[in-house]
Amino acid sequence: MANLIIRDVRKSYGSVPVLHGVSIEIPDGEFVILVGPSGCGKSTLLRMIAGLETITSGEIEIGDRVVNDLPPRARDIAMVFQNYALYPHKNVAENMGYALKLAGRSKEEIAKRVNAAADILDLKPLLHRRPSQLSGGQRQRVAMGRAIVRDPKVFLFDEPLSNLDAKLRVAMRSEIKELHQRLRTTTVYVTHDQIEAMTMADRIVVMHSGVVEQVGAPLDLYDRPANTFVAGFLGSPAMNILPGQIRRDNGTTIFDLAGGGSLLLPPGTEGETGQPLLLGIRPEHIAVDPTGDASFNADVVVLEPTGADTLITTRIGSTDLLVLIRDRMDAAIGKPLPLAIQPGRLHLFEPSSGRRL
Amino acid sequence: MSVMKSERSMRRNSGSGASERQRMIVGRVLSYMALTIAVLLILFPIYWMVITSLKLPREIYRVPSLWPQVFTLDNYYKLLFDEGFLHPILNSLMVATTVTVVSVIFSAFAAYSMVRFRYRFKGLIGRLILFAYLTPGSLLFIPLSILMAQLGLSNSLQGLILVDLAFSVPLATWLLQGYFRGVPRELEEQGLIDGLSRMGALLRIVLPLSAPGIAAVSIFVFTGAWNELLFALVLVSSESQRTAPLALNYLITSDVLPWGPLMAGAVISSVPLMILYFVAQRFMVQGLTAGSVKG
Repeated sequence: MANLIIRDVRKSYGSVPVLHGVSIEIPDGEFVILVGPSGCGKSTLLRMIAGLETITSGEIEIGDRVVNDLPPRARDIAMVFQNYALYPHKNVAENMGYALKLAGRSKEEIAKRVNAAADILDLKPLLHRRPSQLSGGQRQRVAMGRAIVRDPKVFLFDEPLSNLDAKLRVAMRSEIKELHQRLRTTTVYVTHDQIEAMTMADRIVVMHSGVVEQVGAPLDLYDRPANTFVAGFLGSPAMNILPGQIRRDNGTTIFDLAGGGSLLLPPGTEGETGQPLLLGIRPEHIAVDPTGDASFNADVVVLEPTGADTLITTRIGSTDLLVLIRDRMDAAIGKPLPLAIQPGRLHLFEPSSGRRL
Repeated sequence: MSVMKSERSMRRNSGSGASERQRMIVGRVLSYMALTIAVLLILFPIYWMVITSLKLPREIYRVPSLWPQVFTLDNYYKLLFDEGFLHPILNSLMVATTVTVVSVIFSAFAAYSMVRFRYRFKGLIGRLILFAYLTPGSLLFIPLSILMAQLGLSNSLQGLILVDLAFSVPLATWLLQGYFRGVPRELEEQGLIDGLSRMGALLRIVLPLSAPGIAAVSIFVFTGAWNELLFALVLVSSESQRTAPLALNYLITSDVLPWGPLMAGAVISSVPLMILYFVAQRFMVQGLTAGSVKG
């Protein structure tokens, strides 16, 4: 159990910088997820915490001790790799107990702790099997068991679920979350999957091109994304981000799209008029509303029903607008659809920097 | 109507099934024939070596026969007791074993550094190693023999071992790199996190998982050193330092070829290699890395 502090950490390979000064403070017991598209530096940062990559500049502190120059084995961390990295020449029990064995613990203690971890993860019947005799999900659990046996200061997960099929992934997601609630070990978890990030994290760190874009609780990031990147990255389907400008006319607020056409904003929407802006609105925050005062028409281009809800691609002028609706309704391709934006759900961004206004 | 049609189509299907089966049988026969020819081509020289070593001289020099009229161990007696062939065999064992052990140790470290570390001129060093391996021995035997003479190592097994190493270390390094690359990096990193040092990760994770590769490389190197004749011929002059191929070579006096003892020597020389291949083949077939990472 320990806090983890990352202080202005930079990384370059030769003259190519991949991390441009990252600072994150993770209090003891928190579950933090680093999320971002591939190549954003999240795995590099995790590997730097583990000691598998050198730190070009800055400091990493685990439990009030700067670990920059410590080898991985001296950092008291456990890591779960994407491809599990189980030792093929050792059975499950040996895999799980290897770190303790190297630390010179007694056989009885190793057996006791391996058994305890196996109990938590339902691995008891598998203890004497080799990794090659296990399914993907079982290997994943062994890799986690190996991590918890050590009772480390920090857990590091590097995309641990991306090799599992969709169903198993959902099951393991809640299993990892439950495990964390039980053990309360400081955890850093890397993923490119925003659903994993949203569902599991206490706090999310959104990274992009070696820079931290925003840090916050999942719902805070969803409700108040700091910029267009975070806005577009979190949430599925992605937020509509529309260029244009605000105009007020007889008490109504209208957004004129840069690509022609306009949409009506809810009354009381703030924002400077006559300035080029980016308007962000999530597909689930647009309703079909034939009666409302603030409704506007959009042409239906594509209908994608999934059963629970329907994703509708509509077009206004030359701008596409995604709409996600819960209720069944008779929309038809080519027919205009009356839409209304839910009040208080708009996001305005500055076009050049993408920053929230 | 429809029933008739389906019946007809069924018959047609079974007809095509029969011709399919015929084609399969013909294919089998052809592939077995090809394999038999290949086996004969490989085994016949070995067979010829063995039966020649068991024939009397008069039979060897007469019309060649596929089966000896009289079996004899004379050639073996002559070779082992008159010519003292056991001594060169022991010399060869010494040279080949030392070369193998030293090559594997040195090249394991070299190959590991080439595969896992980033450093300056790595690419150049890699190419130099390949270049050294590809340089024909016949180009180098004069410079090497001068070098050994200056080092005071000519006419000694140590000198021969050093010269053999100059060729086997690049080969072994090059081969081991391939096997080490096959060990997932994450396994080693897991080892580092579990408490191993770099050296520990190499010794306890990479090497055990590359065991089939080490076995294969050992066999290559051992075979090369065991069969080596050119450098032995150039470097070794005294009888006590002769290796097996060299001793066999010295059986030939002017234009007289004592085929019987020569073949007996060839048979004896191939025994250690055969044992080695037999022991190691099981190792080489095993895929040790199965199941370690998502496959």
